[in-house]
Amino acid sequence: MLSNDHLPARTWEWLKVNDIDLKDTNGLLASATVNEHNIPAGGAGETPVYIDCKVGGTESPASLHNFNIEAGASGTVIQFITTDGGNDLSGDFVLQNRYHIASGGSFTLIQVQNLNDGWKFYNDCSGVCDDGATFRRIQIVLGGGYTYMGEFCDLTGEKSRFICDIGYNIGGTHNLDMNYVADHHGKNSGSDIHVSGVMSDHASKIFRGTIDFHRGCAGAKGAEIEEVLLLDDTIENKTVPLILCDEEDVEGSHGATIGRLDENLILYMKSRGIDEDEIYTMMAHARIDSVASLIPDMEARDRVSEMICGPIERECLRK
Amino acid sequence: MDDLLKIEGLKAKVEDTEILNGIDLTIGRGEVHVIMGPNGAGKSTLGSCIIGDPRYVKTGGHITFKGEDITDAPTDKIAKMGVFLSFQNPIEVPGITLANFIRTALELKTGERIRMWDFRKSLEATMKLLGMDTSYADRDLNVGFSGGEKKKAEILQLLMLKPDLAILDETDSGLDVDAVHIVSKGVEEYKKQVGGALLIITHSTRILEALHVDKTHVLVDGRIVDHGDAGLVNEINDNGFERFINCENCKNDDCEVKKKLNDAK
Repeated sequence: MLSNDHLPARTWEWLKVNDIDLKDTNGLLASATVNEHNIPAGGAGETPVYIDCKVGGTESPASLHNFNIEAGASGTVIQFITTDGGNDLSGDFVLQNRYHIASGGSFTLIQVQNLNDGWKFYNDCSGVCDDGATFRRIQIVLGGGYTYMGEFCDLTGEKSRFICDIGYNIGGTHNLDMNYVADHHGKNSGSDIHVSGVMSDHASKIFRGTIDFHRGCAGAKGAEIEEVLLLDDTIENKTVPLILCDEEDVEGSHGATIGRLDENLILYMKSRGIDEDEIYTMMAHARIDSVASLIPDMEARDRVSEMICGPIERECLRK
Repeated sequence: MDDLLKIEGLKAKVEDTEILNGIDLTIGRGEVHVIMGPNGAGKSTLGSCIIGDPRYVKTGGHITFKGEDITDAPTDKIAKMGVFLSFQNPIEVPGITLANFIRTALELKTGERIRMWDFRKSLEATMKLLGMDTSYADRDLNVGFSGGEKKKAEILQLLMLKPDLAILDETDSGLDVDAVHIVSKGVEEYKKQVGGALLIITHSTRILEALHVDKTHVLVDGRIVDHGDAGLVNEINDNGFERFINCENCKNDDCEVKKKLNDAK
């Protein structure tokens, strides 16, 4: 079972912002093998573990990973989800990550998605953070047809933390559906969800961000911030922030900046000889760059840089 | 000397307000011109109109640059042709570093890929000349810069982009004595390295000290009401704009404002 559509309230149905159907994924998940990963107590995985998901080739249509981070251990996993083969390939792919981070442990999951537009991608992640544990998630979405991605982070432990940074640049008819839940149970637990994206053409996006403060999580703090740059009038953009509160001593906040580039900024850049297309490209890449710069591994950052710099090969430089 | 910029009868308005009421101005290659005038005279509007700011509607006249009519040309084309406007209030550009911004502008201007090593060397040498900490190269353009650093970043762009005409819109305003000195040094360096023309909009003489001023123009109510050599700058500094506002004392018998006033009498 995926948790992309799970929310402990009926709000979405009333708002009619939850029309995805995940039933088709059950068959794919049933046929997949589960990859178990363990980082032993006190271990520090200084070298990140790379998991390349080359969709469309010999790769199974589903990939499941369980990560167990023992007490005090830390580890980083980098997943690149790319298309293997021609651009005409299409299909469904499910990636599911489960984690358990024991006391004082930390786990960073970095995902970079650059699929072609024929793919329907289900990217599911959920897990539990014990006392003082930290789960860090960095996601970059550069391509795909339909992308359903989500997170359900159970902040059970006291002072447990969930930090999530998402950057996306979607165009064409890419449909991006996001659901992120920080489920606060532990005292003084914290969550930060930061989403920064660019939309163009006929792309559509929905971001549901939920901070759920359960009774007993006194001192917990949660924040979600979204910044969207809209490049065309034909896009469809929806944002559904939700803060549920069953505890008095908590702080929850949401902020969103949705809009176009400021005309003064455009004029300033034009006054240096930079044309409008280039300005939008630069600003779009800047959003992804700001998330990519959080990736601690230089090799992964370089790969992201190559992926996003490809389209800005300027006409004047092709000679 | 060849005409680099020629403005004939330029009229412009923003929304319903006429700001420029027929400007004639010719700048030759390598010349230094100074525009002075009281607040609200239209000095910045003139700079904005030359660079093609679409918020100003040109209702009459023509602007020619290097013999090509740029009256209705888009800003990026005018800039690529070699016009540079140093903004009075430089804009913050989050996400784009100062180095990337300049490198992109240079590549687009020259149409050639610039080797990172060469670019970085040249950029850092220029930053040092302007007394800028080189770490600013990797900071988002103008984001969190002090007023002085923003103005230095403008002059840095001027020196790196090497335009044929630089319009400096009150680049020296709001700066302390040391910062004005550094900015002046940068402008002097631009003259030395590039030999380009300058149109300097200013209220003070400090930025002009190291430059040879060819012509000074006084702009009042959207018209150039007087012009002269560098001596006019000193005269204005001593006596202010009073005599230009009170047109009776104006020496320029061709002045439209004066003519109108005389006609009214």
